[in-house]
Amino acid sequence: MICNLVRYRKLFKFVFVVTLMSLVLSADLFLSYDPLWGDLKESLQSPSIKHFFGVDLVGRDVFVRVIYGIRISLLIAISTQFFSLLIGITLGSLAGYFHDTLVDRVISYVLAVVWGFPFLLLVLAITTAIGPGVVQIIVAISLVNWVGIARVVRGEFISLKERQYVLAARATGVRKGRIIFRHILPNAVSPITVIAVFGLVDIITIEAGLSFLGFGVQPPTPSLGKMIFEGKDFIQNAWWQSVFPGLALTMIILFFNSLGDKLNREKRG
Amino acid sequence: MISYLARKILFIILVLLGVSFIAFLLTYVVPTDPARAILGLRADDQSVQNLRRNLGLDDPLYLQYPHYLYRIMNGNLGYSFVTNQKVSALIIERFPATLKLSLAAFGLTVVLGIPLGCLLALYRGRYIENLLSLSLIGGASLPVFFTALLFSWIVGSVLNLLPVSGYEEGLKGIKFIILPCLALSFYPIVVIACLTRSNLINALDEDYIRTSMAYGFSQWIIIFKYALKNTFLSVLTTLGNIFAALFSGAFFVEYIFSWPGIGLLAVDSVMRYDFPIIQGIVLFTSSVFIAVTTVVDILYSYLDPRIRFCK
Repeated sequence: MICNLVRYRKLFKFVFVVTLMSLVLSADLFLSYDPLWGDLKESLQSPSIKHFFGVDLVGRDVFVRVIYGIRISLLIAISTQFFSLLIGITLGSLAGYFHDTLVDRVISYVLAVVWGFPFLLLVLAITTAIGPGVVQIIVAISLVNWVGIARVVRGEFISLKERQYVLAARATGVRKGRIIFRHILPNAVSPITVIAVFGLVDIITIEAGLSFLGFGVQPPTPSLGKMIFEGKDFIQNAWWQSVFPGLALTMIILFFNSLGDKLNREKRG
Repeated sequence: MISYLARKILFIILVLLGVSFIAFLLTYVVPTDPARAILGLRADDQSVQNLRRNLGLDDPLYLQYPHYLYRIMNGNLGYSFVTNQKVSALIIERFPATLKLSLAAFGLTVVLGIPLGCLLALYRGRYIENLLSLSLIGGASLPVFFTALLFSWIVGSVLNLLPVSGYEEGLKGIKFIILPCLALSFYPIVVIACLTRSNLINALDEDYIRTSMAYGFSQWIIIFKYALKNTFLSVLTTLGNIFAALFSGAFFVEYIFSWPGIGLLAVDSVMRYDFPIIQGIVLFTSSVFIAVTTVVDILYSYLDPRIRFCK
């Protein structure tokens, strides 16, 4: 039994991911309950055929809210990572290409300062300063998250810029911007992909954590972290309110973790 | 070595300056007016204006920052908006609880993580290793606040084995620390176990291991006496970073188990928009964080001379 499980792991993973993705993307087509409005008469019903994951305190279907929560979580994670990559790649490649010059010193100093903060604490402090909400969360996490990317990109650039094709490009008089973005950057894609995928895990966890504390996505918009929080005090009588969103969150994280792991192994060959 | 140390320390001082500047900027962009927050909503505009002038809030940014820097150099982190207590006193009061929790979680990480990694390396390629690492990766994907919630629900409420909240000094407090400590160290244990495993597997391919195997030493002696020593360096750095992360990342665990540490103080202050406390915690925790990672760096370069000659 166990042996078979291990052997068919790949197939399971594939089926699982395809099911999950199609569920999340096509949610509007088949979901019969509203994620924002509930029926108070059905408050705190346990999981059944009618409500797969049960019903929450105000009568909303937990399954529907989990699906929408996953969507929002992914939306925030991907847009945050997009902005982080934009800042991180630009500054990281500049610092790496102009290694040991003033540009590099200044950028490296900024990197060291932001790196000196505990990630979550700084994000928490920024959200307190600029307020809660989806856009604010994206800004707050991006402002901290780009540093990890920039560090990796800088390191890659420092070693790549000594390669012969870069020297050849320089000797033939290719402009610096073109060398950086057309010659070196494409060769740094695979480490950047790995760190970007692992970074998604961090972002999703932190977003859920902030929402858990009430500083992320604002109710009534469904958010996995907030749902776990809302069910926290009823967990002894109505465990489904917290446990299903928590499991969904775990599944997303597990997915990106194993994807990152796979890419990492492929990178090393 | 001395010039390496001097450069390192100079750099750290610069970084700390930068950290203090960002912490200062955070209060500058915060939408609430500190003078209004101190005096309350019913105060008249004139007294708010006066207090603003007295606190130096109307000065330009480049004058406010040196003033602020001078203040924190003297150990004055300001006063809470809500309770008017000294921020430094509050942090010092909460510090022991957080230190205790993070040390306990760190200890557990070392005691469970490294042997678990050895076990995984020893049984590599077998089903038991597959199963174990599968469940470890699954466990590591649980977000910490969810793990904490599950622990407090299942162990604390359903099985009724341990108290889910509370704090006591001394030996009596042990029963209170077990659950938060387990929840907090869950993820680091997996990280250390996986790291030890992959490092050990690399070390086990080395020639000296093959030689000792040929001499007929048992696998346990080979792992614990020879191979582990060579994996220790990278595990050590990660352990240092883990300690720094544990110390600064216990918000959720402290919040769920009502552990009276700095994390709980931070969450409470964030919820009350008590900015001086948040600022103080950011400064304090970052300094500890930077100090720990620097000590690890220095230790690392001491143990492995290649590092300090590289740069």
